[in-house]
Amino acid sequence: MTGVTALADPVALATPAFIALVLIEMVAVRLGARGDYDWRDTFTSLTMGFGSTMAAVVFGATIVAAYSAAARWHLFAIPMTWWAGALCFVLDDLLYYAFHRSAHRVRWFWASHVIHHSSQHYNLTTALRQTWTGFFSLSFAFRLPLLLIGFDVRLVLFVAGINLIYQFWVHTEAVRRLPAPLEWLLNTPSHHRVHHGSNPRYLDRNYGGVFIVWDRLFGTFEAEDDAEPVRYGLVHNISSFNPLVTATHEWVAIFRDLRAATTWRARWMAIAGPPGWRADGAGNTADALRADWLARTAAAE
Amino acid sequence: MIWTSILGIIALVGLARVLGFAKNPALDTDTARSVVEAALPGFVATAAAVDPRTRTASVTASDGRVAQVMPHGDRWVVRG
Repeated sequence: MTGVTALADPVALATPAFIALVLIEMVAVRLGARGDYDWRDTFTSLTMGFGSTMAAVVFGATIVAAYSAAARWHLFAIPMTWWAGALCFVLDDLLYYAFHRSAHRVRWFWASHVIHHSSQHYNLTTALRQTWTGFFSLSFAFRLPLLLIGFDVRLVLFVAGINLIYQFWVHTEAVRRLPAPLEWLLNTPSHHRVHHGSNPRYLDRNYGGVFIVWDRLFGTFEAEDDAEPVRYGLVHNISSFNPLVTATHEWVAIFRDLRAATTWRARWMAIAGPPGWRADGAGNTADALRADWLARTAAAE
Repeated sequence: MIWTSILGIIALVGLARVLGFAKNPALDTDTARSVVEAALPGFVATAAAVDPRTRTASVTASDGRVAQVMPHGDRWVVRG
């Protein structure tokens, strides 16, 4: 275990910078930069971030133990070199895409991830609005292939931290567009604003963590349209700033739907179906909302 | 570490208040209608009744549906 913790924790090192950048953005917005804050929303976002850190302390050792166990079954013995780090970083981001897409398409994973989308604001504190229940939804399992390929556990944890740090700065309205080559390659503030939109046009788009090319490759990319401002938040926004409610509301909804379900299909869909699915057909999944929007757009033209 | 984080949260939330990020915007019928139409695809609002005291509204659609608008900080939540 000592060897596993030998690399520095990049997230811990970056935390003072996170706080400084929130301060700078807050003051900049006050002085006229694009963006908005609400102190109640800021409280919830920061408290969710704090709780997420505490959850990582509680469950981190178990996750590292699971990764170490998986690493015993490695296919290759990949050395700790610069090229291994670069390759691991890219593959990790591909697996992040798979995780993130699943987190929006499978309710079990969504129940944890919805927390990150539960703010109607979009600023740097939104980046810190993280789940408390990721361990229960087994989201860490999406990185197991890296261990099975043969990347060192320390390297996998390190690149995961770098990936998380990168995603912090894209949560801002203050930055409009980067130079075109960067907008093509990377997840940028513009692309990620789309991801946080509840407009049917923007629903379930732009899952990429660092690289947006995964979305271009797998058909989930949507460019930000300045003519359609992003409405941040959820299709059905929560009406509480209580961090406990924020952390658990979708789990409670799953439990409620499981209790009400009368068929095994309905029970399965309550857990593994897309968010918004309802047994009576009255639900609004992202696919249904997007199809409805496309139909209405076509009819209007 | 824990106390540093808690103090940091209190400081940033307090700064947000001091900087004036504490709006409680009034709700009028036009806002209520547009908020509901944006939140509920296909909802064409025909009438809205606003209670300025509670900053809530009840909005009726052309197809008979009724949606409620409630305040949530400086934003709105729609149920319908």
